[in-house]
Amino acid sequence: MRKTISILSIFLMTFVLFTIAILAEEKDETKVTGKIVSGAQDIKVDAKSSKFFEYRDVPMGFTFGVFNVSIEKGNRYLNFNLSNLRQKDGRYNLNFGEYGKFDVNFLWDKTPHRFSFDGKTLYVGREEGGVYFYNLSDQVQLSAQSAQNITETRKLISNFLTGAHEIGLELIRNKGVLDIKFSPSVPLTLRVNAKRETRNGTRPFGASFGFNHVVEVPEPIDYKTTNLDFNAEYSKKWGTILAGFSYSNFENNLQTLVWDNPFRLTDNPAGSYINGDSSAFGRLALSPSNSANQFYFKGSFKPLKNTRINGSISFGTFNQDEKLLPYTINTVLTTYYSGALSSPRDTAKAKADITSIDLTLNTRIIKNLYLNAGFNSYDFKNKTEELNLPGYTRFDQAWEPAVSVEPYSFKRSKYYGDLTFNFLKSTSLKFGFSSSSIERELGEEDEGKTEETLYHASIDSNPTDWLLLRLSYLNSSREWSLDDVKKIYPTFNFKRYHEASRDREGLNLLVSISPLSNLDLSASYMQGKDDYKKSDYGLRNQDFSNYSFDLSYSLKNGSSFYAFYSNEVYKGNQRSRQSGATYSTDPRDDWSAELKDKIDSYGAGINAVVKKDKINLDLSYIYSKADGTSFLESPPGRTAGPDLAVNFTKKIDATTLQSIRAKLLWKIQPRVAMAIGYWYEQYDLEDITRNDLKVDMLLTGMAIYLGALEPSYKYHVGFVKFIYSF
Amino acid sequence: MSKRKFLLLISFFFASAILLFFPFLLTPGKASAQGEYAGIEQCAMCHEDLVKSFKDSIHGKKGFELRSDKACETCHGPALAHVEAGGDKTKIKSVKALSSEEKSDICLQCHERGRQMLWNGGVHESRGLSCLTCHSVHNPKAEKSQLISKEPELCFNCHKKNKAQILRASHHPIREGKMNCSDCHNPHGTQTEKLISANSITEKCYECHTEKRGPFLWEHVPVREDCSNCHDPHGSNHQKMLNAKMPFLCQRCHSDTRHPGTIYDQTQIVSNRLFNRSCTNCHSTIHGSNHPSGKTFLR
Repeated sequence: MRKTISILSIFLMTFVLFTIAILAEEKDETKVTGKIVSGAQDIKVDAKSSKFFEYRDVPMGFTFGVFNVSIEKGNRYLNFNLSNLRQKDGRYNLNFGEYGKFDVNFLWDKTPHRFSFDGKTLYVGREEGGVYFYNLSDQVQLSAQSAQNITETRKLISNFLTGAHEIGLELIRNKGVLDIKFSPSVPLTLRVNAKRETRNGTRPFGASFGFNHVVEVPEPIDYKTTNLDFNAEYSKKWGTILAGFSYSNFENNLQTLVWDNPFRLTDNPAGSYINGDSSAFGRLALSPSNSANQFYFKGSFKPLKNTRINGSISFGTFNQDEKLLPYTINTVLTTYYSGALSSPRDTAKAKADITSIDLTLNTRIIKNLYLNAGFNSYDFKNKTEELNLPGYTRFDQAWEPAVSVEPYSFKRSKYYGDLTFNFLKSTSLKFGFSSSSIERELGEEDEGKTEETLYHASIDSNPTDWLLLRLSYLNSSREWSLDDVKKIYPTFNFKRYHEASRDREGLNLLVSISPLSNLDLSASYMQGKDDYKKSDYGLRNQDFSNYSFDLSYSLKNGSSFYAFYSNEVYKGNQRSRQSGATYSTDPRDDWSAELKDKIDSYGAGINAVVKKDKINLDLSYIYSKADGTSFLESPPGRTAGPDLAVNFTKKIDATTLQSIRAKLLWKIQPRVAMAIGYWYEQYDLEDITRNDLKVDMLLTGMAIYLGALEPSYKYHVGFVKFIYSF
Repeated sequence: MSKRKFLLLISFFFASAILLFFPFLLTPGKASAQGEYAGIEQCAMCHEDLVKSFKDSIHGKKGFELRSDKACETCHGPALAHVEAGGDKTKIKSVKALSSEEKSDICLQCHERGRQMLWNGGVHESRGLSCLTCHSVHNPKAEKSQLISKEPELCFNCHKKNKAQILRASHHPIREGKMNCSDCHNPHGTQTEKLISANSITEKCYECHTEKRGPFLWEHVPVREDCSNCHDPHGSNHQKMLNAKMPFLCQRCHSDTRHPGTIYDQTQIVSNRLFNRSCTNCHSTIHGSNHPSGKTFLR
């Protein structure tokens, strides 16, 4: 609240000062325009959920929705825009300047992100010196530790979980942006952009102790991000050059999370990492503070009227050098490695150099024939110092063999060329080719190279006012250099889709016609297919298709009507093999999954002029239903687990969103209007993994969750607004 | 040198040769507009409302005057002949009748800088769009940038799939008015794929999700390369805008011994490897870990 008042005060002072400066100009008329919208709102809840308020506030009672004022005098201007005053999604924007000389823009924006109203936990949190602790009552831990066996332990903890307290699970982004543009002369522009954002709150976060001991806690978020950008641009008839520097700093005031193990009060020498009953605590490294900087230079040159040579180059670094935590918090693990409670080195020493180069030539070769060719390269060179570790711990429960930290680097390159031929009236035909590659390195090891050649063609035609046609097609083939060399898993041909060899095809068609001057119709169709031709296992293919129709119709009296429909289908087929302690060699252990998402969306709306310049009626309806399904298959005779895959009896996830809105606007007087309206929004969620979520799932799922439901909702909102324009 | 590279080099050489050694193939640029200028007051004699709205708009301000003293005729060309002929439409440039390139050339006289620097050769330009496809000098409908309609509806005129995607359960706050398409994309042209206004997709995501930037002690390879390996930023019906539901998404890359390769079916519906956050119930630092024991992103 105090911060909001401070920010508003700064706005107000700046507003007053600059208003005086504008009005002090003796010549030129002062133009002041603006709008104030305030009113009242009521909400009726049929089914409550945080999802309705995910990124917005919908308040009850008095609302101050909008305050805009624009002052113009001669060449000076000032705009102040405020929306959603005193709400957590408020936005305040102050913009002033002199045309052709300078512009200053200051934005203060708040965005909530709400995860659940239903979260509950036994943990009590506190912060101390950059470490966040989640503690449980010793009684819980001692009772669990003293239990005879794991089943009894779970039952005991279940009893305690009935006393879990509510916890808010949301975070708020507060962002302030200052953008200053100064043009001392027409060709020269100097620009400064500064952004400061804080993010505070909590969100659900896994903090588990073992395969059979999953714990979820609220992750504490206390972030600050500062971004600065300075650049200078010089633009003349021969081209434009721009040089700049940007700096970004991310601070996380909470680097470490430590939480109690419900199963243990003291570390257990005989514990098992399966059951997670070895350590009394867990300790985890939260997102490390980091910084980035970049020098960049861009140029666009016009050697000839219809020729452009564009280039850009940037050098940047990412840095992260936070203190490293010890290997573990579990004192018992020193019996496996005496240094288990120490850190492998003081700090992370993580760094990456990033170089980006782009060069493009765009020219008209002959009349109606254009060439666009170029090259770009993005090189991410990870300079993190390698680290050879004598071992590491799993879940803080068990010591694992030696391992090395190897920095991952990659370099992306692309050469491309397009020829565009304009023929007939407003019709162009384009053919293009590109050759791209990604080279990967993990430490000293070459992780292979993927090379992709892509061909694409498109035709765009707008021969008359009433017809528009766009058609494009692409075909690409990607190969991985280690296809027949490197085995991800030793006993079956598994490939990872981000690097695997792949054939890709895509088609995109859009047709718009306007058979009447006030009627527009459009239809579009898109299709894409990826075939991972050399992947017997992993993602094998995926495709999508989408078709849509749109209509808009306007009447002579100014009324208009629109409607749309869209259908999308996404499918993915993947295959894997279930293994026990060693990799299975038996194809009977294979399984496959075909996932399919089908989405139907449609809507319509009407803006009706009931009485010209007096009464308007807006009505709209939107509906979107997404169904996620799966089909699982496995051959009979599996060596581990049930014989055949048992398909889910319900859709794996399905969501429906519907919204109806109605608003009647009555212009009482030229400057005064009143709006009365209603909107209804309904969201339904069917998710086999979330609908039945509870805090205590120890006996069924061996987990303690936050119970962070985002259930279905139904909200009715009625409002009345008064609008004053000046 | 591989055959492919050789062919590329030859193609590039050929294209350069056409440019450099056959200048007679290059059509000389059109001569600057011929004719005499009438002045804005003459325009106002017949087009009073248009001139008034022009003067009230940003184009009617000092910034425009610094670049041109021709007002309406900067874009419409010399109008004296049109005035003297009593408003004969054939005596003046009709913007509507121009090709896309010619329409854009008018605007690019002043606006080929900043975010518009790479318009020529960009995806939208090469597909036949012009500045006037999205902007209107005389009749803008949006408050900012003289757009013919507000974002994101303007973009959805062509990008239908994305129009449906923002309605998904897991989405960026576009329909709440907190973000727009232009927060991530520069429709005027960039040298990055998908018109992303950053050097790469990941660098664009890091602008708001800076906690994912690292670098981390333990990197997750597909995460570092491209966020869209796992996420669909336009919207998804799966949690966290994932491309597919966990654990299936993760099992597209992981099929190690024991649990990553296990099939999770109806019999394991409440298993903590499937239920709630699935893999990330345990592997919570999935974007990268700075913990010495963070090899498998458990810590």
